[in-house]
Order: sequence, then structure tokens, then C-alpha cells
Amino acid sequence: MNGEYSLDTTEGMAASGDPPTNNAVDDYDAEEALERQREEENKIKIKLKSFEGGVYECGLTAAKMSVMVANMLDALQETDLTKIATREPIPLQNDAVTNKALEKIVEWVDHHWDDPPIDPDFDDEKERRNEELSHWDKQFIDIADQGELFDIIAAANFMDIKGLVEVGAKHICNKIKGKSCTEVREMLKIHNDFTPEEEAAIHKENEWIYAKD
Amino acid sequence: MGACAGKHQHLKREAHDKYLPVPIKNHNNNSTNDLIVKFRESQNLDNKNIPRIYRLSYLSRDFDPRSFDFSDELCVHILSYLSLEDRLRLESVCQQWQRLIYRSVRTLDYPLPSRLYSHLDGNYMSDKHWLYVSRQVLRKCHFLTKVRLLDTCDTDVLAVLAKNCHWLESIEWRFHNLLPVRREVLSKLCDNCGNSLTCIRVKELDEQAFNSESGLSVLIVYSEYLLNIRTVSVAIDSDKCLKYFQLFADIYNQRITSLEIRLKFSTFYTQLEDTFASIAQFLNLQSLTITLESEYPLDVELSAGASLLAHCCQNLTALTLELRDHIRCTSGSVLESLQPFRSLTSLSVRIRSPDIELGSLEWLTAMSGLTDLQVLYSGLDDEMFLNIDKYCPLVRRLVLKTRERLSNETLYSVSLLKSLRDLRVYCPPYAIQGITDTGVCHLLNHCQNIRNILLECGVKLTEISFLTLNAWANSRPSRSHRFSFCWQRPPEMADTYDPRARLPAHELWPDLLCLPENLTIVCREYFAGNSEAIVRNGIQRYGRQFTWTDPGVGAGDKRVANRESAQSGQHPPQTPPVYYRFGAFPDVVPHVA
Repeated sequence: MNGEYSLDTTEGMAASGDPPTNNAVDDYDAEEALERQREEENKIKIKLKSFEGGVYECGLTAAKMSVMVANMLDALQETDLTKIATREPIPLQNDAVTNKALEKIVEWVDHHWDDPPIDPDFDDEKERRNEELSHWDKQFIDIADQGELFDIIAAANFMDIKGLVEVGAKHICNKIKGKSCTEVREMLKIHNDFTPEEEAAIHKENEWIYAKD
Repeated sequence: MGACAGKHQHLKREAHDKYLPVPIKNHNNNSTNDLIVKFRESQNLDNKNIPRIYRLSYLSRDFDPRSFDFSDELCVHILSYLSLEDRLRLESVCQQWQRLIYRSVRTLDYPLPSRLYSHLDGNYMSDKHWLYVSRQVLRKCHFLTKVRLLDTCDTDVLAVLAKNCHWLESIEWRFHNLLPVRREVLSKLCDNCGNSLTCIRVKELDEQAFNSESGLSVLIVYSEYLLNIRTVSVAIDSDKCLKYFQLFADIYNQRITSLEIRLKFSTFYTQLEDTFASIAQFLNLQSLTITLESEYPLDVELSAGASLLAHCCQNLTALTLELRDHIRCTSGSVLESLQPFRSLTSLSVRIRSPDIELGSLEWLTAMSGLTDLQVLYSGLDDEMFLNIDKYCPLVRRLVLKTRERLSNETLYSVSLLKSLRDLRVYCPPYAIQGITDTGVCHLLNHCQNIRNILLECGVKLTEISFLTLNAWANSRPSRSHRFSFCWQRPPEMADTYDPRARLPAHELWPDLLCLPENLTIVCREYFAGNSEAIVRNGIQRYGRQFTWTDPGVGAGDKRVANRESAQSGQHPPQTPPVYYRFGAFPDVVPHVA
């Protein structure tokens, strides 16, 4: 944001890293075809099975937001996509994927499957990191049961859904922003495993940050 | 209770230390599902690596599932969204956090976020405080890869850096005034991270102390350590330290792929050909940035140098050329002399001198693969862009900065570029250009691939444009679109709205509050209530880009005087322009750029 709109001498004129590549999907028609294919594919429903055994249904494109599921489907080398729909549910073999967590994850990918892909030409990681969560995401991730929230983050991490892990991480960081250690420990139920002396030593090292509160 | 806590601690540490390969719990009958078998085969994973435990409460019932008990890997990721200030304060939450909380801090930039200083006494933006804070930060953050240091950074800070940070990839600093003790520290720095360092930027020096052989000498002395250097940025006085530069070129000519060089000529007798010949030694260059400046009027023969470089550096695809005051071209226009570079994909020309002619864009026809074109030139006008689609048909990014008035004609010409994705136009602020709805709509309707338009110039828009923008975004729901512009309130509205108050754009155009999810509109008002001084200042600041004046004798004093008078309050304080950003979310917040 800052650089892009400043009128400084060289801002906005700087060479932007690598020159843009020509082999990216550039053609208007090709892109539209890809879009339509994604849309078609999302009409095919596949089943995902949680670690606890619950089965949830989800569009194919949405499910592929999980890099892990996408890899599994690739490994099948199935050309006929409709067959995938009729096969038995895809098991997700990790403790994190509880019924509740998977239900929420399916809800998230179903909402986000048609997000615009990240455009390497304009992508700015720093800006994205600092961007606020969208309204929908904020409501989605505001979960009363903290255990469930942590399960979702762990499960999303297992399934390799970068966007959702980011939403969860940002949510936690927003909550602990500006809090003191004691408040954070209480909130996140973290056991203080320092001896009082150790803690005092760290506190002394970082004293300058508290100095004028 | 005490015993129980002890047990927790023990388990937790052990689990963390082992990075958690845990046997699969077998209460799932389908564990031999063919899908998983195939997946494992294809990924070459054995049971050891999969599955992994992401939370300790899965390991043992002793853990409360509501507690924050993530594995190290995930913990680092989650904590990476914290600010540096929060990290410092929350370090003592628990031992796991102490180990991991700084692990994702990768860059140290100058200046540091001002919140870090705010706890210190006195004038908290002073260099002294920067030194103190950065010493504290460097002591903690061992995984930094990119640092930009303050000019007056002292040996202590460097010593801390050399001691703690072994993964540095990029360092930006003025290597100057090398004291004997610094050499020790530097050699330690090179010893510790010489292998990982790929980029060294010796920052541009201010004009009084334009003498950076010390920067080059660091590179020359430690060349044995700096084997993986790919990017170097230096500023040299070409007359005084050409020898150093030649030596530098001899040593590094194979390693460097990206070179930024600022050349200053300080005597009447210049050896421009020799300098170009040294640059031509870098055979593997892919990207080159050259800035030429001179203390005296100097005629430069660009075309000979350009032919030499184009001939020697076959891999060169990105070129940036900046010409400053007192440089004059003898051999025709700039673009004409750049003709030999046929394989360029990215070209940026910045002309900051009134005496130089850019030349017709027709010369770009030679660079058949050009996709990125950036021009800073005071005399760009509508006529120059006629037929631009014939000269460089593949351009995807076009950035124009000018002092002239541009009109819809430019947009009409530019809209013929079929691959254009990104268009940015900068004109002098506080002046309305001849760009209206017609031009914007024409551009939106004809450039199918465009997704970012920035008109940092006064534009007259009405609802028609916003409707077209909506349609533009809706036609490609899976793409992000961005449109930025500046506006001025029409005179007939002076009665309705208080001229002394800022007018949020959505009061004028309510459409801005209901944009499609993939469209962002950023706008700024050329605010009528701004004092004249602010307006004048803005225009001057913009204008300065086109005439870089030599701050030689006398000018330096003037600059100091300016700074002093600004402090004593004679000048109005600089108020940054206010941008409003509209997106899919209803909260409209002014953004200060």
C-alpha cells in the first residue's frame, strides 16, 4: 500500500523482481475455460471422512484447496472424475480431523473455492500478512470452544490448506495482541514452565519494551 | 498438583524434542485403504513420517484439549503473525514460546516500527535509540535473512549481527569509514554468513561524501568468503575509483547476475568508455541498473556503450537507465541508443534532466520481447503513444510518469495493447488531466487482461465509470481487480459541502459502498481545504523527480536550513495525502499512504 501510492522519486518505478512470465495463463479465453472447468468440477461432490468416522460431502474444486487431498486424488490417476464421486470416502488420518473440525473446514472451503488465485505479478507477501481478515472469515473463526478452534487449525495444517491456517493464526494473534504474559497464559491455558528466576531474567532483558507503559 | 505439572513438563519437552513421529492409533478399520497406500507410494513416504501429531493433547489425556499445545512447526507459523513488539513482550509465556517466538522474524529494516521506540525516553526517533533497539532485537532474532542498517550503525551492532545471525542473505548498509576494529567484525560476519549471502547493497552515499571505495574494498577484500553473491549495488565516483571498480569486475565477473551501479563523474576528464568496458565484463548479468550523474555538464555517448554491453552480456533481460542533471546525450535520443538491446523483456528509463530527448517509442520495435516498460520523462504526451501497440505489442506492465497533461487519447492508444495487465500513470498532483469516463470505459472495454489501473492524476469520473468498473470485475469473478485514482470536487458542490472538511468519496458516489468482492477502489481527493503551502509542496515534490539538482556547494547548506526552519515551524507540517480504500467489506477506513 505505502509504496504503491507514494510520489517518491523511484517508487512505483522500481524493477519488480523477476520479469513477468509469458507462460502464465494470460489469454482471456483460456482463463475463462479454466474457470468454467473449475466450476464444473465443483459440481462433482466427493466425500471426506474424519478421523472419528464422520463423512462430509464437499465440491471437488473446494476439496482440492487442501493440497493434501489434491495430491491424493492425483495419485489415483483417475481420468474419469465422476468415478471419484462414487468411490468410498477419502479418509483423513490424523487425530486433528475431528467431526466438528472437518465440518467447519468443509464450510470454509465451500465458501472460498472461487477465490481469485494469487497473482504473482501483484502479490506482496508483506501486505497480505498485514491484511485484516474479511468479515465472513472473522465470523467464521470466532468459535467459542477454544479446543475446537485449535483442532481446526491443526486439521487445516494437516490437510495443507494455507488460507485457513492463516485465518486461524491471525485470529489467535489478534486475540493476544497487546496482552501481558499472564493474560495470554490464562487465555490460551498455557502452563508457565519457567522458574521465577528464569522469568525475571527474561523480563529484565526486555525491560525496555515495558519501560514507559 | 506440583507432581502433575512436573509430569506435563516432562512429557511436553520430550514430545517436542523428538519432533513427534508417533504410531498410528488403530481404531480405524479402513486404514489400509487403497487410496492411502497409493498416496504413500506416490509421495515416497513411509509410515515414519505420516501421520504427524500437531497437538499434544492427542498424545495424552493429561492435556486439556482447550490449551495451546501445538507442535513446534505449527507454533512458529501461528506466532509469525505477531508484531515484533508483541514478540518481545510475550517471550516469557513459556519455554516453547521462548524458543520459537523469534524464529519467523526474517527482516530487520531501517527504520524500525516506531512503536518499538515509543517506550524509550527522549526524542525517540534518534539514531542512538535505533542502535539500542536494534542491538536488543539482533540479540534475539537469530534467523534474520535480510537486514538494512542505519548509516551510522556502530561496531557493537555489527558485532551482535556477526555473532548471532548466521543465515543472512541480504545486507544493505553504507560500508564506510572502516575502522580497524570494524575489519575484525566484518571478517567474522563474512566468515559466518559468507556462504549464505547473496546480495550486498552498499547504500547510495550522500553527495558530500561521495567516496565509496571503502564499499568496493569490502567486496574485494572478502571476495573469498562471498562466493554466492549474485546481487551487488554500489555507488562510485567513476573518475576517482575506476581502478577499484576494474579490480572488482575482475574478481566478480562470473558471480554477479544483477548489478546496480550509480556512476558519478566529478572531473572534466572522464573515462566513460573504460567504465562501460568494465561493466561489460560481467558476462552473466541478467539485470542491470545504471545511474549516470555528473558535477559538470557532460556529453555522453550512450550508443557505443550500449552496443558493447548488449554484445557482451547476452543474458541481459532487464535494464534500468537513469540520467540525471548535467548529463547530455550527444548521439541522438535515448531510446535510439538503447536499440542494440534486443533481448530485453523489461526496460525502465528515467530521465531527470531537461536537456535529454527520450525519442520515439518506435525504437522499441527492436526489442521484440518487451513486456515491462517504465518511463519517467517530463515531456511524455498523447502523441508519443500513438501506435504503441505496433512498437511493443507484448507489454504487460506500463508505468508512465510525466509533467505534461495527458488526455483520453493516451488511454485510447494504450488500450490497443492486448496483453496489458497493469497500467500506472503519474501526472503532477492538484491538476485535473483530460482523462474522463470515456477514456476509462474505453480502456476497460478493450483491454481484456487488465487488472490493475492506477491513475495517480486528477481524473473526472461519474457513475458511468463505476458501473463499468463493476461490470469489469463481474465479468471475471476469479480475478482480483484494482482501480486507483485522484479526484477533485466539482465547483458546483462547494455550497453543499463544507470546503474545509474532507469529503469521503462514497458520499459523492454511493456505488463505492457495494462493490463486488474482487474489486478494490482506492481514491484520494485533491482536497480544496488544503493550505496553499501543502499544495505547492506536493507539486514541488513531484516536480523534483524530473530535475535532479546538484546539491553541490551551497545547496547542502540550504537543505540544512530547510530542515531547521521546518523544525522551528515556519513551514507547514507535511500532511500525508489521505487515501480511501473501498472493497467488499463495509468498513471504509481512510488509509494514510
